[in-house]
Amino acid sequence: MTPIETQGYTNLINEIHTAYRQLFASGWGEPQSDETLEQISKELDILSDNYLKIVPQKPLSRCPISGRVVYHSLDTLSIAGPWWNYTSPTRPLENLPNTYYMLNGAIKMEGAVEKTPWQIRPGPEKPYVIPDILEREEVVAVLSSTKIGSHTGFMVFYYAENWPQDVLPTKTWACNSWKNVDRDGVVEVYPRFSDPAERNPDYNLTEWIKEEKLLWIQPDEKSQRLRAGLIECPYLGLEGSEDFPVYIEGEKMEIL
Amino acid sequence: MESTSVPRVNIPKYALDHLMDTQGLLRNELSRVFMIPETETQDWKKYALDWWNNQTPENEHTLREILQIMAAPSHLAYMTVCISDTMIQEANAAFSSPLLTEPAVIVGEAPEGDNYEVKHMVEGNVFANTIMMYLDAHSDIATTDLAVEMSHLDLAVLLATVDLYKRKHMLSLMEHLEVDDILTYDDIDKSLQNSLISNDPRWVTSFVLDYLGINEVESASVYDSAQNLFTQGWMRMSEDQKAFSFTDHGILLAESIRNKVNTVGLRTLASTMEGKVGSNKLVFIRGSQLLWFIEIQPQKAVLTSINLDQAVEIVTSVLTPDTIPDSAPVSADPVCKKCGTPATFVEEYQRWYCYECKEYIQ
Repeated sequence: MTPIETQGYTNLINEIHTAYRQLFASGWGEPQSDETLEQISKELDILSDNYLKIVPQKPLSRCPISGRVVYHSLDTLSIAGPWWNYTSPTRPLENLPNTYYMLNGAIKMEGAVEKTPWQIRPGPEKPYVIPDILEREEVVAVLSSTKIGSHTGFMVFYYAENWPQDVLPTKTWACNSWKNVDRDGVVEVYPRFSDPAERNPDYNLTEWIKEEKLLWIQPDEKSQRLRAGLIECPYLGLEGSEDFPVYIEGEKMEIL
Repeated sequence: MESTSVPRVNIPKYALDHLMDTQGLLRNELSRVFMIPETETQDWKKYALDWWNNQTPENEHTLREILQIMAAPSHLAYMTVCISDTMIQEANAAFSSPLLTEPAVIVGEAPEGDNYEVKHMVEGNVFANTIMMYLDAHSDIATTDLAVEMSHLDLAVLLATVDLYKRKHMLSLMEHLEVDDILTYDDIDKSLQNSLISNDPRWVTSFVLDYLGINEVESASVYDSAQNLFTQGWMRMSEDQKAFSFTDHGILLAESIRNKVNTVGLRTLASTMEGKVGSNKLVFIRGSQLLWFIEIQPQKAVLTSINLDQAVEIVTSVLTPDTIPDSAPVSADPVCKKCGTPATFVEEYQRWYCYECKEYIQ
């Protein structure tokens, strides 16, 4: 919410990283007493609160069913912030339309991957859809794109007026759970939903776009105007890895 | 409105512009009706930021949704309710989506300070249900097959005659006399002219005139309209053509409205992707046993007796416009709440004026 100044952001992220490493990562500095660890833990809470205040909630999509512009939190300055912490992301409660079903994403890395003391799973390098969800008659998805630091992020939001009952959503982009706030303000968190990688992601978007199951928005278009069809679609034939990588400290990890 | 038991929050007027900018909210043409003051100065920016930072995370969540809706409503609905013969209430609703299962807000002025008082509805259906509650009024509704198309002025004269009928009944009660149901041109004209200058909730004409956009009427036109009502079968005319009395149809309308329960007026504004603003105007008069619906079109009005199911359909339909508004940046000039026309700032009086409705906007 508060305007982000780059230097202030960098300092805050560095402080969060340091505190996090002292608390959770082994092999960083001298062992700490319980009292010191408690103190660091409190400091980390305060730093996380400060971070929450600067994480932008940007217009990232538009629901084709309700017409609502969809604002979603996203740390667009880098993937070093705790928004990207896979196991314990620092994200505000989202204001999403009641038609929101799920969010998947991808990142085309440009330059070095940021070092983080936690695991990050930004998704593959090009956008994809989950066929067993999108083929449902009631579901429609919207693909959009924005810069994230030096990288390019792709978001695929799925919407349904009546959610399909016999198919489950995947985990939300870059975190290990699916989370939503229902219309009564109740927060629902489901950690057991599958990773998108386990749901046979389809990278060939042409047919989905042609059938208007997948709509799209021009990269960084402010008004979030929905577009349909293949003409002038910038998301066709994108190159990039289809792996779902896991990074820690900027290094790609092998996950068993 | 009293019936909408929804959470309400006060938002400082001078913080709103900055909060919307800081959050990167998209704004559309319709947001101009809220007349959000521009706050370029650093003092206000600091004030807005401090105010926001004092909110709890739960409040922030609700406030963010409110700001998003106020910045770019999909459509707006202004409801005026005249409860029985006693009081008039207003509610201005802004919707996040033409889908009524999505949230909406009611925006008003807080009684104290420079604050918006905003009520947050988890879905737009709450607003639609509130309208239906006034129309239902917990009693049965009969139906007739009456549906009449007429000019705005003919409708105004018809309602002025109905008010006159009611006035005569009230007077006869006071005087312990039989009702004199002979209505003269002069009396009808006087009833209409009074309605133009008074906003007395007992009379239905002044309420509807506001929606018809009639500000003045020449007596000669009243004469012509009374003749039209005779031709349309609402009234009988005396042999010397100087006095009228209601026909059976007229009595049905006049008796029903004489004991009116609630009157509900609704104006909606929606804009297209190109930013063109369109509006709907309609009035429901919940009579003692009948529910009257007036659809106000640009050149004419249609008066119909409807049942509650039809009312639900009408209300749902006007609150779910087909168009999805654009979210392009717009100028900060306000638009008229009644007709959607951009208002003009009058330097001399330091107020915004609508040349279409010929009045200052609030």
